[in-house]
Amino acid sequence: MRNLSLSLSGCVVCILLLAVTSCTDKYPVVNEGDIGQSSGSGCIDCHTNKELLMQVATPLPPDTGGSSSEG
Amino acid sequence: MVYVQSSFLTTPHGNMSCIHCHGGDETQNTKETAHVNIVSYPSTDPDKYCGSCHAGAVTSTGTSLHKTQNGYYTLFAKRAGFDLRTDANLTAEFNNECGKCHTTCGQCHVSRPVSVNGGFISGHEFRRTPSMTNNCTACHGSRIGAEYLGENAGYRADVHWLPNAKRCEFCHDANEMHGSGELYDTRYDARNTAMPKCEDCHANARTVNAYHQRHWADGEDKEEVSHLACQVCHSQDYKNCNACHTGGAGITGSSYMTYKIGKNPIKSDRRSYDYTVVRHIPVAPTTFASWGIDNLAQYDSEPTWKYASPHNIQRWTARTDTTGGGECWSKCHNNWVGSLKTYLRESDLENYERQANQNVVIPTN
Repeated sequence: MRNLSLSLSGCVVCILLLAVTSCTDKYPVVNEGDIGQSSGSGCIDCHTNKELLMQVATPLPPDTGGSSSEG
Repeated sequence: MVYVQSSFLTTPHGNMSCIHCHGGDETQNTKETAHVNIVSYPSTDPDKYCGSCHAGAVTSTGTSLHKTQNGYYTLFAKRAGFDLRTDANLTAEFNNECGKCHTTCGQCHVSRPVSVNGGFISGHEFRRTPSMTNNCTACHGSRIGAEYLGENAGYRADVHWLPNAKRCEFCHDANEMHGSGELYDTRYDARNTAMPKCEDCHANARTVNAYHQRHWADGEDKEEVSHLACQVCHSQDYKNCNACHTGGAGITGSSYMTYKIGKNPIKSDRRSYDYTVVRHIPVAPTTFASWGIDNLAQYDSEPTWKYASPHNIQRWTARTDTTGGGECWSKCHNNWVGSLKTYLRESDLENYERQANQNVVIPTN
């Protein structure tokens, strides 16, 4: 009887642990108003359109050779 | 041009609104109005944009040498006698020429570093592990990258890369990159235990042959024989610098390949070697003349041949290849002749460097 009680207690503890760990948010809580906004937003419409971006992009300044890897 | 691949939108970061990190106004339909108050590089303020989810990494990265650049500040202070950050003009000069090389979360995990002109690695996707060539060797390329990948003509790639394909993170893990939470003066700060050592993996090789036993002393033998850094035997020639890549004054030569053994200038419990390979760094007393410092007041306090960790390791090198026999003196121990070019001698130094390197050069007698 004692063993049965111990086994049942163990099972309950395991289930509680699994519930706690599995229900923890893996990713950040994002403001409700932000969720899903990227899809179909004005930003995404333009920034996933390579042809459009090439038309409106600001040309890079000429490379002056100043940047270099350090070591 | 900021082109976002649609695959990004299915990732955790892609599920967030663009303006959540970048600001701007997505309701506008022109580039100019949509980009008002845009934040191009959010992770320049990691506490605000990254810390709410990645608090641990953000906190410790505040102490990372990639972030603090303490290596520059420490060595400048030793040679100049004061902290350059106490002078607004010097700080501006530093930020203009050196400071732009520090990095942010995004410059390792999203794009190439700004100092090498940026650009997404993979269409704005966040990469847990940075790209070896687009991130690590994009900055650490002229010496470490070229050595490791075998890009120096006539020299082989590091054995850890070919054939073993060990990427940078195999040795330099996130704990080292993100910092420990403790501020270090330089990367070789003896307290920086996250900085890898060959012995971390190869400690068991200590007794595999007579050469290791003789030159890799430990315990009781330590007092009797010289203790060599692994690179002394297993490094190929490596690049030495003779000019600052940002321009500047003081020393204006070209880089060159060589190999020099010197006395360990940073001997500590962490790096207790008596001898190590040393690499030339391009600093002269007048290097910062264009910044208004005509002469570094304490130039002699730090050697210009520095402890080095060349990333071009081979089992068989000019020191270890004993094909055809030969004696110990034929490779290294003909010191009495003083002719071996592998030792750093006073004759290798410019006159102005001699005092600074007196504890590194190996006497000819």
